[in-house]
Amino acid sequence: MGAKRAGVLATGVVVGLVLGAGSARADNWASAGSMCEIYMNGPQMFAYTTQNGIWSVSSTNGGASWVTQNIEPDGSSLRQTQLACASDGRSQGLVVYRDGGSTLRSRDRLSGWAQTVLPGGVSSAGSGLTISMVPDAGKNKFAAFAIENNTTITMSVWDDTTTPKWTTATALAAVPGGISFALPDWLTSYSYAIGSSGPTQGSFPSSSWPTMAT
Amino acid sequence: MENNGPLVGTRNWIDHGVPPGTSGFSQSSGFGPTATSGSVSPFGHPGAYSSADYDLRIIAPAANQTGIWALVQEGGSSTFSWVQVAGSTTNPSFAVFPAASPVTGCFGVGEPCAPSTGIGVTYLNNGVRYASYYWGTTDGNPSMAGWTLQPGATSNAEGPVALATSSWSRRGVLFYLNTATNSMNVINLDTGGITALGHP
Repeated sequence: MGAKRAGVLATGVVVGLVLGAGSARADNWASAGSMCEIYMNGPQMFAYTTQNGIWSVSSTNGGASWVTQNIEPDGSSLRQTQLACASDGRSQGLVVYRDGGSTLRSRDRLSGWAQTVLPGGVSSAGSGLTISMVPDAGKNKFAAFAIENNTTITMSVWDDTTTPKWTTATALAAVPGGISFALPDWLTSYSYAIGSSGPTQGSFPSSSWPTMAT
Repeated sequence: MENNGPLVGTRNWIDHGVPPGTSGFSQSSGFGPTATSGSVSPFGHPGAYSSADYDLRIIAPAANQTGIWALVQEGGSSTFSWVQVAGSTTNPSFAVFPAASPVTGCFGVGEPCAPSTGIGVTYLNNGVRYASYYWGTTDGNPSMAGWTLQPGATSNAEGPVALATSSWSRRGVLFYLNTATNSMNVINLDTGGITALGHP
């Protein structure tokens, strides 16, 4: 079985405004917010407002109509946060965010958007979150990375077939040169499958993707 | 800096440096990534796969107003290199909230093709503008939209964008905020058709 790799890229920042400065207006799309996308049978996009929840917008009829749903109705648990989203291109999708106590939580589509805490997952500044789907041994797992503080970036892995679904967050080796989490540092990530199994159909979100060897 | 490795096992930090001639990466004044990434495998084949089978594209805006740069590993190369995204020299004051997604780039649904990567980005240029760009294999006909401004921008706010793969649009769909109307818009990047989704 091939190895499955997940990468994470921490971007440097020159100067940034202080996060969580109260600039967001809860009822205004134009406030500071975050979007991310999940592809299923149609595109799904997620946005958030700090008091109104996390909203998904989806269409299954070629964009002729769109459905808006609040998948985080417990708005009191939200704080200004970056959203991180990923999907397996078929049925499962995850959204990771920070709650009012700096703990990382997620909502996943297959459970009906039930809320799950990431054990040991912390995001002190509410930024620096990323998640990627990682095909692994026939499973579509998800790897989430989060900046916890000036020295620590953690990784958590979601597996639909295990209990609990999230592993306890583990710290990566220290970032050479350090990071400044109080500034809006960001993470981005990608994943790919290597080894004898090759790419897994569904690894990439396209219905017209060429079928690949497995 | 990149941290690369398997889910279980040794992971390593890789220093990719900064784009040529730039002092660093763009600042961002809101929530959202200042870099985004994706990987695509152009064609399947029997046997073992390596990282060189994938086109890896990590997009990061640069801080000296020269545009958007991408860290790429393509065409069987085993190393990354910095490449400026063509057409991104429209003097963005600074770029914020880039988003990227694989898009099919095919002539027709179901037709084998090498996938492309689409980029959406918000940047300041006499007010906030939303742009999209396609990189990699294109659908060829009609010609790719390239780096084009999307309507609905105003000068008083900025917002994130989301670029999503779509089964009905070879170039995907781009979500952005119309700050003039406080509405979320979605544009079909094949047709240019815009739908206002309003505000919940």
